[in-house]
Amino acid sequence: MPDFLSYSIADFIAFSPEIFEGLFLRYQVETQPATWIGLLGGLAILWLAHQGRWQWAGWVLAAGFFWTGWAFHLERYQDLNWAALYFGWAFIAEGALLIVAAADVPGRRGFSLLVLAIVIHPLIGIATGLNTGLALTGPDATAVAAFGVALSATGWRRWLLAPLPALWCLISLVTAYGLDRPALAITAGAGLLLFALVMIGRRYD
Amino acid sequence: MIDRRRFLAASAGAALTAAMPWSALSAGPRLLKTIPKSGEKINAVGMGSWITFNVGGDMQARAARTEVLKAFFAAGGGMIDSSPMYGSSEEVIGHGLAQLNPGARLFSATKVWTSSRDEGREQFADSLRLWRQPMLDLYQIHNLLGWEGHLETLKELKAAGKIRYLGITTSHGRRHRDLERIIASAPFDFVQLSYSAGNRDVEARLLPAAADHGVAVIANRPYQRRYLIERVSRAPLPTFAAEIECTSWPQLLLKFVISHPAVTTAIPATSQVPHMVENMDAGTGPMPDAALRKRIADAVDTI
Repeated sequence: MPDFLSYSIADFIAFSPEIFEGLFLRYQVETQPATWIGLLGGLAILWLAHQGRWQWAGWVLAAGFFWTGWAFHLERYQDLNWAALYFGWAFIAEGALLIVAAADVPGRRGFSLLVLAIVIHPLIGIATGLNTGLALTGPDATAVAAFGVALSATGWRRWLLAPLPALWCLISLVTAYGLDRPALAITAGAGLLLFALVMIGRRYD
Repeated sequence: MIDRRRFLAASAGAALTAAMPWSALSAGPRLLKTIPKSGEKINAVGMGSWITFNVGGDMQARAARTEVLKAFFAAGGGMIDSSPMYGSSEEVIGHGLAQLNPGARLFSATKVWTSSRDEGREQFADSLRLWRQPMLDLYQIHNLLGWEGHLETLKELKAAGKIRYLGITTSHGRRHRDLERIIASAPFDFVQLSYSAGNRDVEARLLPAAADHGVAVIANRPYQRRYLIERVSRAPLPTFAAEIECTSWPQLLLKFVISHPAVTTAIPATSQVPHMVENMDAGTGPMPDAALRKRIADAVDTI
């Protein structure tokens, strides 16, 4: 059997669930009022998308990716997980892609994923007692919101915007599984599933 | 063999221990083992830091880990093992050491974890800074990664007085044949491997090979993380545990590991003072002989 097959997911998780959950709380306390600004930004994204102004929605979301990549991944999560160096730069890259690729399109395709990320995600946090940050400041909700913008886009723009959030959602699922805290990644899992279902459904439109 | 540094450290350690009210600790002598290539004595129970000391900038958690270190040194503990792979563990250990100032009671052990020799040199400098130590006692090559190149670096560091011992590690039972070949041919002082009452693969070849070549053995995962404790706790503690003054499964499991003649130190990891006290107490009192070790292994196998 090759060496790498003898590893379990838990072998790659170098921190405890308690410390991981505490990281989010500490992050929010240390960066106030960023969470409130993010909340307002999330509501602005919902309003802009509702108006069909997806380009502006994408640009506001880009700011959330830049912030989360820097303030969460590079400044804090990297203390616990060396791989957060790459997560941080991936988030910053996604922010840049949003600036380049977000465009106004008619309709509200992808709006449901924005609702999941911005409205339902905090409710999941309250219900489970597990806090992974809000959209624009927390990684999971920010990544799922990007699915919404990706779904609203067409052609190459969608394929440019979707891979990095999808990769992050997978990483989040694996981390939650490794920590034996599956509820930590409900939003990431639901977002990934919803995005996949919409994409599959669209093939038969 | 004990040098002046170690003698002064032991004296300071005795004073430190006397000043600490660790009433739960057993007062009896603690099992010391000999490092074959130097004759130096070391406590048979050390500590690991995987997960448990990776708390980042959480100051409350750092303070709690400092208390764990304090309990460790109060019980005569010496070896602390870490790795750059363990996130902030080295930094958190250094933070605690700066407050406790254990001096040469500390037996610092960390690893180089990269395939690049140049990066390995940078990692060593980082480790010195994070541990807040002028030198490290043991520097190990993590999971055989790039070991041939790093071995030369380790030799240079030893010649320069930056480390005292050279080591190489594996875990989870991987690459045992490679490791057996390496300890037979390369000048390593220590080998680190996974060994527990529930995972005895190394008994057949690796532990005898280490003994044959005078290589000290660090046993990691003596509880297979928490898995083994959770597994055996379904059954009552065997009555024969009382023969070696064990009052809990973790103590029995740890005595099994450190009583193997080829094992120098076991490094259980914990984030809690009561568990640290329990671990360190496993190094006191009578140890199981070969017959009792077999009964422990049989008991574990049947659960």
